Amino acid sequence: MIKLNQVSKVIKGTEVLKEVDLVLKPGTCVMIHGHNGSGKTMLLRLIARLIKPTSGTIQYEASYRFGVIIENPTFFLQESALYNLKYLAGINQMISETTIINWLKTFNLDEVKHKKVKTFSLGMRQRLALCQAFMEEPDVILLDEPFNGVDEGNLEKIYQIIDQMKQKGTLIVIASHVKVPVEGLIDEEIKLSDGKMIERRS
Amino acid sequence: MVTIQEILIPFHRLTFELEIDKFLLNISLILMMMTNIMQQVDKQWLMIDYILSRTSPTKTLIKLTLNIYIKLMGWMLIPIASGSLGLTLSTWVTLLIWCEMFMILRFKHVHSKTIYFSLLVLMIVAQSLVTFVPGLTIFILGSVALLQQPYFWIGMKILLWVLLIGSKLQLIKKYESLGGEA
Repeated sequence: MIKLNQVSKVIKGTEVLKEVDLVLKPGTCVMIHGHNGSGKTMLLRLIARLIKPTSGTIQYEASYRFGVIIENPTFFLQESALYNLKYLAGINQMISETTIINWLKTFNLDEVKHKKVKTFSLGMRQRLALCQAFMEEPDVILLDEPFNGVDEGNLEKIYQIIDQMKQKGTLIVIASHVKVPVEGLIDEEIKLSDGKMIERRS
Repeated sequence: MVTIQEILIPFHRLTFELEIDKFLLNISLILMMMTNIMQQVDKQWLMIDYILSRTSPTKTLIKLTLNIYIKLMGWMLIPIASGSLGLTLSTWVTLLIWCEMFMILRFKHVHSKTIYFSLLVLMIVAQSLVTFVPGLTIFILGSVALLQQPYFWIGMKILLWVLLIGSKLQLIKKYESLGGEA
C-alpha cells in the first residue's frame, strides 16, 4: 500500500500539487484524469520517488519495485528495441532474454525487435515503453498517457495485460485524458485540476 | 606536418607563444570532443527515469557514468599517437573532467546546449590564457606547463576529477528527475 498524506510540491515557486491525500492499494487500477498542467505527471513522479514532496509524506508499506512510463517514451534511438530492453533489464538482472522476447511478442513487437527505435512510429514506441514497464513484473506500474498513438487492436491487448497484472496483485496507476471503455478495469478514478484533487470516484 | 603533440599543446617549444594554426586545430579537437560528450550525456539522460525507477540514485549514477566513459573510449586513442605517456594520461583525465563537469551541470538541470557553449568558451579562453595563468592547465588539453611538469599537472587533474565525482555523488542524492514539465 502507498499512502500520500497532504502531499504538496512546489517547483520554481509554483505549487504544482496541493495537499493531495491518496491511498493506493495493491491489485487495483487507479485512473488519474486532468487537463494538461493539472499535476498528473508530477503526481506519478512523486509516487515513483523520482521527486520528493515539498511538504507532506508518502509512505510505502514495502520496498516496492516500479515500472514507469513518464511523459513521452524515450529510448536509445540508434539502438534496436531488444538492445534497449536488455539494457534496462541488465540493471537488476531479474529476467532473461527469453522473457524479454516474450514480452515483445505480447506487445506485437517481436518482428521488429532488431530494428532501430528511430524507425518506430509513436504507437510502436509507446508499446515498447509499456514493454519495459511490464517486463520485470514490478509491484507498482505507473503509466503516463500510455494509450497515445496506440491503435484499437493493440489497445484491447493492453487493457487485457493491465487486467492480468492487476489480478496478480500489481498496483497500476494510469494518468490519461482518455476514458478506458472496459467495464471493471478501473477501480478508482481521480480528477486533478491545478494540482488539487477535485474529484474521487470508486 | 603538424603532430598530435603540437595539436594538444599548440605553443612554440622555445618562445612559448601560442601558434594560431595549431591553436585552431586544438580548438577544433576540443569542439569535436565536447560535441561527442554532449551527445553521449544527452543520450544517457533519455533513460534516466527508467533507470532511477529501477535502482538507487548511486547505482544509477555509476551506470550512467560507466556508459558515457565507455562511449568516449574512441577519443582515448588520439593522445596515444602523441607517443608521450604524460600527454596521453593528461588528455584522458581532461576528457573525464569535462565529462564530469557536463554531468554535474545536467544534475543541476542546466540545459545541455547552455553547458556545451559555456564549457567551450571556458576551454577556448583557458587555452588562450594558460601561458599567463598556468593553473588553467588543469582544465585544458595541454600547455607548456604540462610539458615541463607533466606528473604534477596530471596529479592536479586527477584531484579535480575525484572532487567532481564527489560533488556528483552528493548531487545525485538530492537529484529530482523533473522531466520536461519543470
